Amino acid sequence: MMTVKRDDRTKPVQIKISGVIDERAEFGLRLGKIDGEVIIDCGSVLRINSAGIKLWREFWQKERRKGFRGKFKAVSTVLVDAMNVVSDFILQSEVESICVPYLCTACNKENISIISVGELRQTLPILPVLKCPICDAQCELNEIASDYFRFLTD
Amino acid sequence: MEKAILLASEREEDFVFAAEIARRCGGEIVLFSDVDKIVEHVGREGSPQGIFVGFSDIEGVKSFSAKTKGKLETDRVHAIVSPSDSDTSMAAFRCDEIGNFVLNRYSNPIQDGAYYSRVVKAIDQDRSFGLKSVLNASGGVQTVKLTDSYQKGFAANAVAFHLRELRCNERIARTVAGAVDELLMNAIFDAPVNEKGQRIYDRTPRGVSISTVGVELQIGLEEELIAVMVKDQSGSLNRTIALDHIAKTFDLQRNHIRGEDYQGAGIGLALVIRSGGSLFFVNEPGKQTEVTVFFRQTEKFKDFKNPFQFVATRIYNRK
Repeated sequence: MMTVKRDDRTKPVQIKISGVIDERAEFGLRLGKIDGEVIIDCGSVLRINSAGIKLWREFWQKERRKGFRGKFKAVSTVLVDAMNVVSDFILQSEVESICVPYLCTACNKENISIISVGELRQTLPILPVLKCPICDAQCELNEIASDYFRFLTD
Repeated sequence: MEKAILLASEREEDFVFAAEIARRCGGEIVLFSDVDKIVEHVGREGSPQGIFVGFSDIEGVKSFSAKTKGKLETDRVHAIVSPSDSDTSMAAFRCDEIGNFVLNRYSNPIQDGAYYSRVVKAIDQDRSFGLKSVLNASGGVQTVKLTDSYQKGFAANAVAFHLRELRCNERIARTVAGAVDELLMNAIFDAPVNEKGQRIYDRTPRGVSISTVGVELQIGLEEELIAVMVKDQSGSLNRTIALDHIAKTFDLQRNHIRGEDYQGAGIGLALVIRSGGSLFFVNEPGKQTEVTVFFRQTEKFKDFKNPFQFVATRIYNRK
């Protein structure tokens, strides 16, 4: 189930979306009025199904027509996958940072690193180095790079 | 019907793969250099257990289609295509004479042949078969019956929970849950038809509660395999439409789906394939449909998403 936390005290307004986005995701009702600049934190979105992708796309399309000027930060792995499939799921210019999954080569623990799109554009195909927080060994990307970062090259 | 596996492919790996299938199925492998000779052989000997044909260009698919029209059992024809060759793969998926598709990104052609031989054997059965008959004896199968569409999300989350309990990688657990979600959504909203064969709920908003009598979920696990089957009692699967949806997966390698084309694009199945799943569609018209997705369990998620894959179909009592 999708959960939303919104903090209107900050500038810009911060909205955090978490959980599972499916056919019951009532974005309009749950997110409230999207006015002016807003930061949408998507790092805890765990799963999105095809019906959820459809609703997401329709909601943000409408917001764009109304002049949406927000940024999506910590875009989770499942949303990066969706960006790589549907052209206007999140526009490239709207992405501030994404979750990049690394796997420790020693202890096999997966670690998610949040990397800004600006940094990725500068460094790809080389990724920022990540040391495992548990055993300090080197981590490697746990995705197929050409597939995962495709949204940056389109 | 003979037990032989017929193969027309110039790739050595395809030979190793098909030879292992023949061995597992208890038959011999017969090699052919062209499609005409396969047609002649089938005319003389009857339908074999499987006909495997390697395709490397669209012209090969077109030629195969023209030469075999109405002469081979579609359920027994297996195209071997390269997943990176989008054009040829899409042409094969849209060819009415081909019912099964092997994406030749072998991890090990012998192991992959052993794995796929289960599908070849299953296609040979007289009627749809359930998950147990495709899994090894060690693989336990759990069945869940749904009565309302609202239970779809609970079922998907329960599968993820179950896999986590078994110490499955978190993202693998979520990916399998996603596949369960898509398969159930198709069974609940796209499968039911009225007496005229018209879809009843395909335009119903997916958030609405509807009765799902007859929709069943099975999950089976083996050491290296996760299999999920969704069964419904509509028996309304249209192979051409299902395969056309899957053909989009290959187009996705080059192009995004444009937002305005998203509606009705059948993206759910394409997402399952993109996430590393293999699909097996079985349909008994008017009786039941079984859609199974297989995932290979791997240590690394990137290997999970990029395994040896296939799409198979078995349509009984075709009109």
